[in-house]
Amino acid sequence: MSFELRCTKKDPVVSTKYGKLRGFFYDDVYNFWGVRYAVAKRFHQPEEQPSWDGIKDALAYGYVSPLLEDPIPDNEITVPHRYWPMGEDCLNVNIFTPTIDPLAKKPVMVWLHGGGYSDGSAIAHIAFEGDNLARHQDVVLVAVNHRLNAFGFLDLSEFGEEYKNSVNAGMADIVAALKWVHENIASFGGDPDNVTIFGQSGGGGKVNTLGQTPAADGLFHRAIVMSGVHDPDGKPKRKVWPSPEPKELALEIMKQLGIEDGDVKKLEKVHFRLYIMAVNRAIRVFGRKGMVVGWGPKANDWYAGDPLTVGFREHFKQIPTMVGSTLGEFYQTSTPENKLTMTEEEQKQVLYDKYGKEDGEKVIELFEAAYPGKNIAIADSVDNSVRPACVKYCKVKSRGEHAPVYSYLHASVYDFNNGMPAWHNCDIPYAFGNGDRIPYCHATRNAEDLCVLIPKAFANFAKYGNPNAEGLPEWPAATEDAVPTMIFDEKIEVKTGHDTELIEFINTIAKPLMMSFFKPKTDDDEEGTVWGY
Amino acid sequence: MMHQHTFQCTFDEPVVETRQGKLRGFMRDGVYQFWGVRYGRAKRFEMPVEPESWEGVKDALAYGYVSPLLEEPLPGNELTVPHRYWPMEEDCLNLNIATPTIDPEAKKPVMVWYHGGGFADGSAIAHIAFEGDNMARNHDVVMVCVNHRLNAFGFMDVSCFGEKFWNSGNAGVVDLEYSLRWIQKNIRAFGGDPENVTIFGQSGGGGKVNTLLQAPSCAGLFQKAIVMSGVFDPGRLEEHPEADPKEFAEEVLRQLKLPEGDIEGLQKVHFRLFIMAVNRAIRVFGKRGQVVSWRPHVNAWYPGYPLDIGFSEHAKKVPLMIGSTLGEFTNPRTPKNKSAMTDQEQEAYVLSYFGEEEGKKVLELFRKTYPGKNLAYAPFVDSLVRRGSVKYAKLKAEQSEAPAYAYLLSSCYEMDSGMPAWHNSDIPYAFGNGDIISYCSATENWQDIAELLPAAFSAFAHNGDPNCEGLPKWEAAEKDSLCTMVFDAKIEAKTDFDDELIEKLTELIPGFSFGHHNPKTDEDPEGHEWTY
Repeated sequence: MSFELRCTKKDPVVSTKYGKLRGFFYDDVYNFWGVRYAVAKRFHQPEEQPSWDGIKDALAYGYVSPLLEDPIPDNEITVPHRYWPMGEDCLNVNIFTPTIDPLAKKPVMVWLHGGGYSDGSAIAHIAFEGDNLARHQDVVLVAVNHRLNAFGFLDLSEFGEEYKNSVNAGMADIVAALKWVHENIASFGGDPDNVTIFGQSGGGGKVNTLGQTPAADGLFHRAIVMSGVHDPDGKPKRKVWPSPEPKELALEIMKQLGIEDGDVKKLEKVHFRLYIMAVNRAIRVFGRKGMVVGWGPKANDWYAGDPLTVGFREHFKQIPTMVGSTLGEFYQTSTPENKLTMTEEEQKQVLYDKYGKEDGEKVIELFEAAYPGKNIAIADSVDNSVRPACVKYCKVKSRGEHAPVYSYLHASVYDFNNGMPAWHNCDIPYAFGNGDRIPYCHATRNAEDLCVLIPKAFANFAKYGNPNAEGLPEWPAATEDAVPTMIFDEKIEVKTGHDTELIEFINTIAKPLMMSFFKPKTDDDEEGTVWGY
Repeated sequence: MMHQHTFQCTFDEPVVETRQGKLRGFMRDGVYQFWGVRYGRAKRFEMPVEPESWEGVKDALAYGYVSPLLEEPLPGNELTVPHRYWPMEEDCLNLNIATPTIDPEAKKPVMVWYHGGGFADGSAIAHIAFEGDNMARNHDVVMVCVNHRLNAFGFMDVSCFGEKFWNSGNAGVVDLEYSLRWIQKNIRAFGGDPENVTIFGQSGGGGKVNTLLQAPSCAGLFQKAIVMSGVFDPGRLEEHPEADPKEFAEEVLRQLKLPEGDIEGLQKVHFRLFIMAVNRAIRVFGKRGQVVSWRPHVNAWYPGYPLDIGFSEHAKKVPLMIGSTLGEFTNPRTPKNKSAMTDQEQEAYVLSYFGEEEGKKVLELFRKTYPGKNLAYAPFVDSLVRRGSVKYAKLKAEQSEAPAYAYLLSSCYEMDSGMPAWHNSDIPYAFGNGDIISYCSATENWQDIAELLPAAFSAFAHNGDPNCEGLPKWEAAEKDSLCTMVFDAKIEAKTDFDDELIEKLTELIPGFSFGHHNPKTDEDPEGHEWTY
C-alpha cells in the first residue's frame, strides 16, 4: 500500500455538468462518494438536478433507499454487510477510479446491487468497494443507489397520468444514473462509450430489465448477469401466490393513514417512516387473506418485459453478455456432520437419506460424472433453478443475429459450517477483486487463482466484450445449442453441458424451492394497542 | 499490513461456553470474534436483567442491533470519521469480543470500549476504527465493545411516575454496569482476566468512564480506566435552560394521545413512533427556549461528576490515563492551505485572527510551546478539553493513591486546509488501526505514532502503567505538576509545557456553545398532520 492520502481544498476536484465535486485520493485510487445523479419526488419519475456554485464534497456515501423493515443482523460470514442511513433522497452513485484525466477513457463498470427490487444498497456488502477493480484492473467503477420496494415500485397508474410509470420508478432511477454516467463520466477518467452494467441476484434482474427498456438503449454497451436469471417455465414449478390488485393495495395503504379520499398527493407527503408503517400494515391485511405483495418492474410501454417471457429485444441481443451462477445458490442443506470430514460412505448416505436409495444412487452417479472427485455429499445442495435458467438464457440470446454470450459457474466448496457449496452471492467478492478482504474467500481450494483470475475475466469483459484472459483456458461464447461454461473451482476449466443430466434428474425428484415472502413484523405491542392514536 | 489468511467457522469451532449457553464465533487471521453477544435484557425505562439461557449452540457471527437514534444520521465526511452504521432496535444490550485466544487459563487483560456520541449517539461499531482485531492480534488483549441504550431510550427521567422507574434517567449507563457484570462472569471463557479489566472511551465514552468511576455499585467491576477527550473545562460551556423531566414526559404522552401519567402505555409504543413523539416534544420545548439533554442523572445510583464532588472511593484506587487532541472541536479552516503559507503569512494570519496585540502574545506562547510547528495552527489549539483534562489529572493525583497519566495527540494533518488532530482523531491509533484509516498516514512520523500509541494503551491495560519500549520516560501526574506524553512529529514527555498558551487561549476564547439536538420537522412543508 502507498498510504498516500490527498484531500486538500482543491484536490482532487472534478467538474460535472451541474458543478464541481471534491473527492479524495487514497492508495492510488480516486474516490467520489454520494454523487447525486438526479432528484425525484415520491412515486414520480426522476428529474434533472439543479446546478450549484463552488465545490461540493463527495466524501461520504449518500443515503440509501429506505427499506420496509430494519434488517435483522444475522450472519456476517456469508454476507458481510455495510448498512447506512436511509432516506428517500437516495439517487446517488459512488465512483472509484484510477485517474481523473478526462482523456483517459477507461472502461466503466456500473454495479447494480441485489436484494430483489426491495432490499440492499450500493454499499450493502463490504465487497462492493470498487477500489481494487480501479487499482488493479484499470476500470472506473460506479455503484448505484436507487429507490426500492414501495418507494420505487408502487403501481399507482390508476390514479392519474403523472403516476403512469410509478411501478417502474426505481428502474427509471437507474436509467437516470446511466444518463448521468453518459454525460459526466469522462471527467472521472471513464469512457462513456464503453459502459458495462453488472449486477447479482436482483441486480442481475435489473441488468435484464435495462436490456428490455428502450430508454436505456445506447447508455450501456455490455452486460453481466450474476445469479440473476429466473426461468418462468422452470421445473419444478413454483407455487404462485395471489396478489392484491394495484389499486386495492394503494387504497389500503392510504386507509391505514386515514386518507379516505384516495388522494395520492397526501400519500406523497407522509413522513417516510409512517409511510413504511402503513405499507407494512397493508401487506399484513392482504397476508391475512392469503395474498402476497411483491416489488418489481412491470411491463408497460416503458418496459418490454422479462426476456425469457417476452423474448429479447433486438437491441439487447446486440449487447455482449456474460451470465453465471454458483453451485449452491439458495440450496443449503444442513447435515449434522461436516461434509468435508465424512468418509465416502457417509457422504453417499447423505444422498440416500435425502432421496432414498435408488434415486440417491442415480444422483451420485450423475454428480460424479459432472464433478469428478468432488465431495459427494455436496450433491444434496446443487442449485437446480438458477443454473438451468442461465443455460436457457444463453441459448435463447444466442439465436439469430447476436453479440457473444459467455457463461460461468462458480463451483467452489467452502470449509465453513458443515461444508458449503458456493452460495447465492458468494462470487461477488471475487468479481470485485476483493477476495483478500472477505475471510471466507480463502476457505476453499485454489483460492489464490480464483481471487486473481475472476476479477481479471470480469474486467476483460468490460474492456473488450470478451472475458478471455491470460491464465484462463480458452473460453468460447455460447451458441443456441451449446453453452460452454467456465467453471471456477479447485481447477478452472471449460465444460459444456457437464451438469445437464444431473440437474434434469434432480428436477424430476426435487421439491420446488420455497422463496419466503416479506412478512412484516407487527408494530403493535403485545397487548394490541394501536399505533396511530 | 498483510496477514496470512486463516479462517475457522465450522459447526463446532470456535465454540465458547457462557453462563447462559454456548456461542459459536469465528476466527480470522488468528483472532477469535464473537459478535452481538447479549449481556442483558431491558424493558423501556427499566433496569436491565440477566439474559435468558438457551440450549445448544447460538451463533455470534453478526454485530447486534445498536441503540435507536433520535434522528437518521446525515452522512457527512467519511475521511475524518469513517462510519459503520447498523440496524437499530431497543433490544441492543450486546457486546462484541475480539480475542487472541479462547483458552480459559490464558487470563489476558481485558479492554472494554465505550463509544462516544455524548449519551445520545454512536454505537459500539460506529467507527471503522473500533475493530478490535489489531489490539487482540498485536497487543495480546481481549477487546470488548459495548452497545447500550442511548438518548431517550437510556436517559429519559420518568422517576416521578413510579418507584420502578426510579433510575430510568440512568438506564443507559446501568446497562454498562451490567456489561461489566457479564464480563466478570464470562470473560475467562474468552481468554480474558476478569481481575484485570480496563474501561476506556472517547468523548461521551470518556463521560461514561467518568460515570462508572463514580457509581458505587461499579466498584470492583474494573481495575483501570482511560478517558480520551472526555473531560471539558467546567463552566466553559454555554448553559441552556432545561425542560423539566415530568413536563417533558407529559408532553411526549400528549403527542401520542396517551392518558396522563400512562408511562406503562408509553413503554409499549412502537419505537419509531416513540422517537417521533420525543422529537415533537423536543421541538415544543425548543420553542420555549428550553433544551432536553441526555446524560446521567445524579441520584442514589450516581453521586455526581468528579470535578464537582471529587473522586469516589473506588475511583481513587483505579490507575487512570487521560488525554486529548490538539484541535478537538476547533474549526481550523483557513482561506489558504496552512502548509502553503510562508512564515510571514502564518504570522499575519494569527495577528489578523486575534488582533495585533493579543496575536503577538499568542504567537510568542505558541512558538515556545510548539517550537517549529506551523504558526497558522495557533488559533486552533483546543483549550476546552485540554484544560479540563489537566485539572482532572491533577485532582486525581491529589486525591488518589493510584497513578494518573496524561497524553496529548498534537499531530497536524495534511487534509482540507490543514487540520490539527481533531476530536476523535486519536481513536484509530488507540486501537492499533492506523493502517486501516486513510488520514492516519497524512502526518509526520505517523508510523511511530501508529505503533507506539497502541503500545502505550496496551501496556497500561497490562500493567497499569503506559511506559513501554520506544517511549521516553512517562511520569505520573502530581497534584501541582503534569507530565504529558506528546505524540507528534517527535514523541516526547513534556511537563507543564502548554499551561501559559492554554490560559491565554482560555482568556481569548472563554465560552463554547454546542448545538443541541434540533430535530427536523416530520411534517411536510405544507403542514399536514403526521397521523391522519
